[in-house]
Formats: sequence, structure tokens, C-alpha cells
Amino acid sequence: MAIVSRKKNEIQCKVVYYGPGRGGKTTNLITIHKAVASKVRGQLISIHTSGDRTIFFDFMPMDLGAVKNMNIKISVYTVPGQVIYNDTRKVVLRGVDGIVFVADSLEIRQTHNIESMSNLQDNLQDLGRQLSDMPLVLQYNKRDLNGTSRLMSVKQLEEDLNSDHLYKSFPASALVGNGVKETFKQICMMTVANVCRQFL
Amino acid sequence: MSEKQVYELLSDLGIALRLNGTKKKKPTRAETDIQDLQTSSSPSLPQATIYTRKPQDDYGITSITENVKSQLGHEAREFLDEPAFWLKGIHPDDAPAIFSGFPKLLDSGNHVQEYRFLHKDGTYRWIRDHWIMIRDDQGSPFEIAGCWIDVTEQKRVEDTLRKTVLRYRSLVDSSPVGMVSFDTRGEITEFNPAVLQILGAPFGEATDPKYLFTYLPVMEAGISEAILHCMESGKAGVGEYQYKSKKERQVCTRLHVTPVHNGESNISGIHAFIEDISDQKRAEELIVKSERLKVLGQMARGLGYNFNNLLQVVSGSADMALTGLDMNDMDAVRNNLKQILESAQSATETVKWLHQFGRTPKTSADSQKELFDFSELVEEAVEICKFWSRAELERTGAQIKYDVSLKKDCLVEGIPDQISWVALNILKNAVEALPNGGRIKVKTYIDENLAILRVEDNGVGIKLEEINNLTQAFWTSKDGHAGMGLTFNSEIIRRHKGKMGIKRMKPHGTCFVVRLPGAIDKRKNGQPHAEEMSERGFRILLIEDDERVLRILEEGLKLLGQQPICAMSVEEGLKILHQSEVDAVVCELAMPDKSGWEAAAAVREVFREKNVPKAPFIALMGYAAPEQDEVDPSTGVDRVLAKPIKVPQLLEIITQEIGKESAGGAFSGKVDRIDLLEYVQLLLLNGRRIVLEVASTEGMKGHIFVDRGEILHAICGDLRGEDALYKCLTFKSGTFSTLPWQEPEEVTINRSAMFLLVEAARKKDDMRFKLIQARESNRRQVARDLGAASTVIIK
Repeated sequence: MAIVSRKKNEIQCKVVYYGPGRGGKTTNLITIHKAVASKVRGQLISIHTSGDRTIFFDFMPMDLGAVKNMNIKISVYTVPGQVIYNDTRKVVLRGVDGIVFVADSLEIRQTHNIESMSNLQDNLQDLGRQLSDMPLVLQYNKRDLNGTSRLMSVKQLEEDLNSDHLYKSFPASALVGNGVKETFKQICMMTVANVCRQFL
Repeated sequence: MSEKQVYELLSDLGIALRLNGTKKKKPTRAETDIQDLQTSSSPSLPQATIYTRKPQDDYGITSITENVKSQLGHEAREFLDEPAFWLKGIHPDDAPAIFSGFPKLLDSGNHVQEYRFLHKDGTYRWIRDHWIMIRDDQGSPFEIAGCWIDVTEQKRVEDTLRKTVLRYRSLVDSSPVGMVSFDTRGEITEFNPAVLQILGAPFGEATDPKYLFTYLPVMEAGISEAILHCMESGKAGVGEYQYKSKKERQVCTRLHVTPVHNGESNISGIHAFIEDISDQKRAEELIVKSERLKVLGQMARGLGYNFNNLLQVVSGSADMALTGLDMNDMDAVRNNLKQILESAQSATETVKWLHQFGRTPKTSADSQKELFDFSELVEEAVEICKFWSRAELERTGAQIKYDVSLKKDCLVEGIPDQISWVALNILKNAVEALPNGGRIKVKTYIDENLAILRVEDNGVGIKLEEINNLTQAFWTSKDGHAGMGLTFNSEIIRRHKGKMGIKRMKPHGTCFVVRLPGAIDKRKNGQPHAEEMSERGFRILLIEDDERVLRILEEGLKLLGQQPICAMSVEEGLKILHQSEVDAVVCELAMPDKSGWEAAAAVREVFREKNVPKAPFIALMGYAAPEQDEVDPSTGVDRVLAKPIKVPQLLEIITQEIGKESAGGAFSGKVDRIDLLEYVQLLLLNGRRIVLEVASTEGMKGHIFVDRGEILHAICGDLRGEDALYKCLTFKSGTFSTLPWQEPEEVTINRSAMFLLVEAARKKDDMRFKLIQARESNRRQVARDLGAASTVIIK
């Protein structure tokens, strides 16, 4: 649920990167934070959870301009992927406007992906939201490890996570930087469009 | 003289010929032509004398027409016989100028000059002499041909004209009325020095008329409109304009504009006349003031009487109370005390009215028009009138019944002081018309966008023949009056573009009707924040020692529908605070009696005493310094703003602050089965200031200070700061409640709220995980123990 502040003349949207632990969410965010001009981004804030980090920052996408004279501010968050940090995930997920699900392409993480997705659905339900109402983009990360590790095919991943082909998906390699911006751009556009449809 | 030369001569004399209105005949011979010229010209017109003369030496005349006699009285022969005759006839003053003209003649072959020549009768005549150089075939000067015309009459007319112009010019220049001429494009073509004086521009500074009005942009706006209107309509008009002159003097001017017609119906320009009527205005104000003082004196008499009565009640009741105390009759004492209180209240009320009427009226020059409720003013006036007339009525034993019906929201735009004066004056007249008592009907209503006041009495009435005198200055039917009341009334109403009517009522009595153009409430239409404001506006206490600033803020806030209360010192402000409810306090930081910070602390103390939540305290900083967003909350100052600040902006900030402060007061209740983290997250979102009290089921208790989206401080048992916060937020279960905002004793937390929340959630997750792990290991231990035990048993 975006915050529309008439006082600050601002719409604040929240985009959350969700997915299994060690799937590359944090890497995604750091890459984006680096790519965004320092003028329009806020400080990158990081909270260490054992094994995974939760980081977030705000930024004002200039190219999206203003909607009805209101500036758009996007806050980007990651959630800790480890199963035990579910309360943390809920706190972060509250008031979310758009979700990027970062899936791990490694074959051994297949169940983690599926579990994380169903955890996302459960948590949203707890917060009274539906995944189907939510702008969601899928990212199949770690495609660069092809050859060194056993990867699932994109087709396989689609079958696991996007069987109805409801969502847009991007193959990516967060470490190298491939697909990161594309994913981010897509979710920002979808989120802002959705928020504007709801509020303005 | 060759024929060719004569032709040349004649063609050059075209001017002279035309001047004489002669048709040019076929020139067979020069002589006959010249003869024709002479005979056909009418005697009244100046005639041209044609001659030839030598081009050097004494310039002796070689030939000349006979008509020279009619011009100069000399015979042609006299010129021909004596070569120096011409030279001798020239006025000695003009001779040098003539000779200096010769080189020019040699150059161009053509020269005109004017000089005086002695007439036969001994007077000098002005002659215009036109010379043409005639050269021979070699090109050297051969002869000068020329003509004389007597221009004495013309000269005389010109001279008179010039003198007249000078006279008019001096008249215009020394006139105290400023005069400006405009052409059809609205550009200034001429103006007199008085304009500069009125406009306050030093003479000489405005050399170009075009720049004249750059001195006064304010005035220019008004004037150019008037001029445009005059130009379009072709009608003269009068208007009054106010502006500040260069020396910061308020100047009031009256402007008359009249179109200038160029004979036909076309307008060739505009004349504008500017009068400085500031002194006149001031005089008017003085008279109004003195009238006001007189009424005030009359009121004071009434008030004295009123107070005397009240004091009677007070002292009597006090006596009774003492007696009651002696007799231990507490009920009686209570009643007596109540009576004293009531009397005091009544006295306060009286003083309030007096104060309201006695406030110094602003000079019309700096009073701003504002939107106000006509009915409110009338209500005030009725009350004042009642006070004023009380003494007199009680003396005579007469009774006046008031029948008041006021329509709310009769909005009018204008100067409230003046309108209130009008209402009071009419009411006063009504009372004076009822020396033996009677009834006064007061009614306000709106009709076709007119706000109307009707004051009707059934008193002595006005004679028919007197009605016309009513609004004339110094006319009065009453003793001891200046007779200016209704004069000013009609003047004020005229300025408000309204009308005043007087009707004779049957069987007797008078009815005054005042109609003012109704105003549309811009507060509701135009102001973007209108919906955020409560209907009656906030009560805002303004503490400021500079009266001008105070008035500006007051007027501005009033205009925006608020209820400002003014105090010129902190002491006065605190007194007001004690006595009445206030939604916000705006205070200058550098007050003479107390600094703004001390004031803030004192204000907080007042609220604490009254046991109500503190109203926001906004400090205004006079000296230049960056605006401080972050203010140490412990000072009691909520915001510091740098002056100058625009009133709407100030109001917005006040509204914001009030919104934050009033968060705790609106609702209280219970929220069950809610996640504490979620609740804190919500609190952070809404930007309020609140203290959250959390109690765990184990009996631990903590406080979290949430201030506008940030957590400032947390206490939990012995813990302070973040540790305390996490402790509170990770309580497994318990209760919480919100308390009104209270400044924390210290600020211990400065991390972003989102970080704190996520961190708390993480800790909670960690704790649970550890618990699970502990249980797991416990279970394993038990299993192991059981296993061991079972082995033992099996064994």
C-alpha cells in the first residue's frame, strides 16, 4: 500500500525483493543502488541477519517524473531468505506495492524456490493481500553459473514458479549485473502504474 | 534682367504668390505679371514687394515694385535713387544678423531672414525678406532678386500666442494639481511638476515622461486602467488611489480623467488630473476619531454606572458570604460566591465591548480590506449601543426593546472598523430618536447578493423636508453634535460601493437601510487547505512585540478563517493562555520581557497546570538564520521559523503541528490480538507524536517515544535506548496503550525507524529460532536420555 503524502507532495511506493536465502536478492539491490545516481538515492541501510542480509534504500526515479504533480519515491527492500526470519519478512512485506521474486537457478535450490514462493503467498495472505493482485516480476538468477554448476532450465523454473505464465520473468546474473536493471525497471513501471491506478 | 531670370524669380516666389491667393497668369512679361500681382491682391493681405539689388557693396536696390509704398510708406524711387537707403532703414539691432546671412546666400543661392525696417511713419515693421542669388553665365554673382513681405501682424499674433502659452504654462506649472497628458496609446506626452511632487519623485529625475510612472508601479496599475477605460468609453471619470510614496508616506490621491476631443468625435488623448488628498483624508479621520471619542465618553458614563451596579452586587455578596461563613451555611456562601463570579463575568464582558470599540481605528490608508461577517459586526454594535444607552435610559426610566434578527454569514468585503462604525451610528440615531423609549428592530439579511442591514425605530421620526439634509456635513437636529455622523456613514458606505437609504415609517419612526455588496467566501472556494481547517478556525495565540507584524499576522489569519488572539508581551500571552483555550501559540523569539524559549517553557507549564495536552509552540525568528527543522523537543518549542513568513505558510505549519499534537486526544480504545510490531509500524507511518506504553504478561513495562515517524527514545526497566526498544518489541505477549506526547528526558535513539523495526523483527525471529533449537536439543537430550534409560532397562 503506497503512502500518498499530500504534504510532501509525494507518493511512496514499496518494492520488495523476495526469494530463498542466498538467491542473490542483496546482490541485486547493491547493483541497483550503485547504478542509481547518488542525487536521487537514499542511503543503503543494511541489517545483518545470520547468513543473509536485509538491506533497503529509497530512491526517486527521475525518469518516471511526477504523476499528477506528485513525486514518486520508491523504497526498495530485500527480505532475509532464511526460513526462520519469517516475522522479519512480514514486517518488510507490510505495505508492499510490488514484488520481485529472485529465484535461484541452481538445481539443488529447487525446493527452496518453491517453498519461498509459497511462503510469500502465505505471508501476503496473512497481511490480507493476494499475490494475484500484486505486480510481480520473476528473476531467474545465477544464469552465469551455467557450466560450473548444474542449473535448472528456464523452462523448468517457469514450470515451478510461473506455471500459468502470469508473470514476466527475466534470466539474470546479479553478480555480473545481467538482467538486474531490466528486472528493476519492469517492476518499477508496473508498481507505479498500479499505484497510480489505485490512488489517483 | 533677362526673361529667364524673371521666370526663375517668379517660380521661386511661388510661396508669395500662393500667399496672396493669386492665380498665376501666363507670364508674357515680368513687368505685367508683377503688375497683376499687385492689382489682384486684396489690400487686407500683406503684399509682396519684389525687387532686385546688387549682390555686393551696399546691396543697393536696382529695381523694385511700386507697392513698396503701401508696405513701408516709402516711394520706390527713394530706394532706387539712394543705394544706401535700404541699409539705413534697417533696425540697428537686426543689421548684424542680416550680414551674417550673406555667406549662406552665396552657398545655397537662397536665403530668408526677418528684420525690422523703418516705416515712413517712423515705426519699425517686421519684414520677411527672401533673397535669391542670380548668377551670370560664368557663375559669378550677378544680381540678387528678392521679395519683402510685411509680417508685423503675424509677428504680433505669434508673440501674443507665445505669451499666452507661457502664461498657461506657468499656470499649469505652478498648479498644485498634477496634470498629465496621454496620447491615444496611453503614453505620457506631458506633465507638470506637481505630478512629480504628488508622486514623490524629485524633479529632474524623471526627464522622460515615459519613465514618470516607473516611480509608482502601484499607482500606474490603477491609473492605466482608468485611462484605458476613459479612452474606450470616451467618458470622464474620477477615482481614488492609494500608494506609498518614495519616502514611505501613505499618499491618497484623487484622479480625474477627461478625454481630449480633436474637434470631431475622435479622442486624441487623455488629460489626467491628480490631486493629493492625503491631508483631507487625515482631517476626515481626525473628525471620525473625535466623534468616536465622544461616543466613547458617553459609553464610559454608562459603563461607570454599570460597574457601580456590579460592584454593589460584588461587595454585597461578599458581605453575605462572610455572614454565611460565620453561620456555617455553606450553601448560602456558595450562592454568594456564584453571584460574585457572575458579576465579574458580566464586568469582563463589558470591558471586552469597551475594548472592542475603543481599539484605535486604523488609518484608512493602511487598513486592508478583508472579508468579514456583517452580522457579527452588527451584533457587536447592538451590544455596544446597549451599554452606551443604559445610563441615560435608567436615568429617564425609558425602556428600549431590541428586536434583533441576524442572518449568519452575511459576508462583506471591506474595512470592518468602518462598517462597525456605520452600524453603531445608525443604532445610536435610533436610540436618540426614542427619548421616551420604544422599540428598535435590527435585521440583517442577504438579498440578491446584497448584504442588507435594516434598523427601524418607532421614535420621533424625521421631517420630510429634513431628509435631504441628513447626509450633509454639520447638519444636525440634536444639540451637542457635530452633525458629521451620517455624512461619514454615507461616505464610508459609498467607498464600500454600497448604498444607504432612509425611510419614514408610519405612523412614526425611521428606518435606515444599508446595502453592501455581498462577498463570496473565498475561504471556502479558493483556499486549497480549506477542508483541513475546522469550521470556526483554530484559536491561535500570537505573541509579538512589533505591532505591525502582529497586525499583519492577525489580519492574515483572520482572512484565512482562523481566530487569532493577540498579545504584545509574553506576560499578556500567558494571561490569555490561563483564561482561554488556545490551539496553538506563535511567539517571537526575541521578546523584550522574556525570550521565546522561556516563553515556551512557561507555556508548557501553563498547560501542565491546566492538565491539558500542550498546544504546539511555534517560534518566529526575527534575525536572519537558517530555518531549523529540528528543534530540541525538551525546550517546548515545536518549530522555529524564520521571518518573514507568509501567513498561509504559517497556517499550514500550525495546522500540521496541531494535527500532530492532537493525535492522542481524539480516541482511545482497545486493540486486541494485534502484533506489536505492526502497530508500531502504523504509528510510525502516520507521523504523529505519541508515547507508547508496553507491558508484557511477565510484568515488564516499557515506554517508546515515537515522534513524527522516528523513534526518539525507549525505556524498559533499567534499559535505555535501542536495547530497551528491542526488549519492548520482542515481548512475547502483553498489552499496550498510547499516551499523550511527552518530551523524552533524553534522545537515545537515532537510527532510522525502518531499521529498528526490521532489526527488532530479526531479533524476534532469532529468539524463536533459538528457542526452537533449544527445544530441539532438549528433545534430543531427552531422547538420548530416554534411549540410555531404555538401554539400561533392556539391560
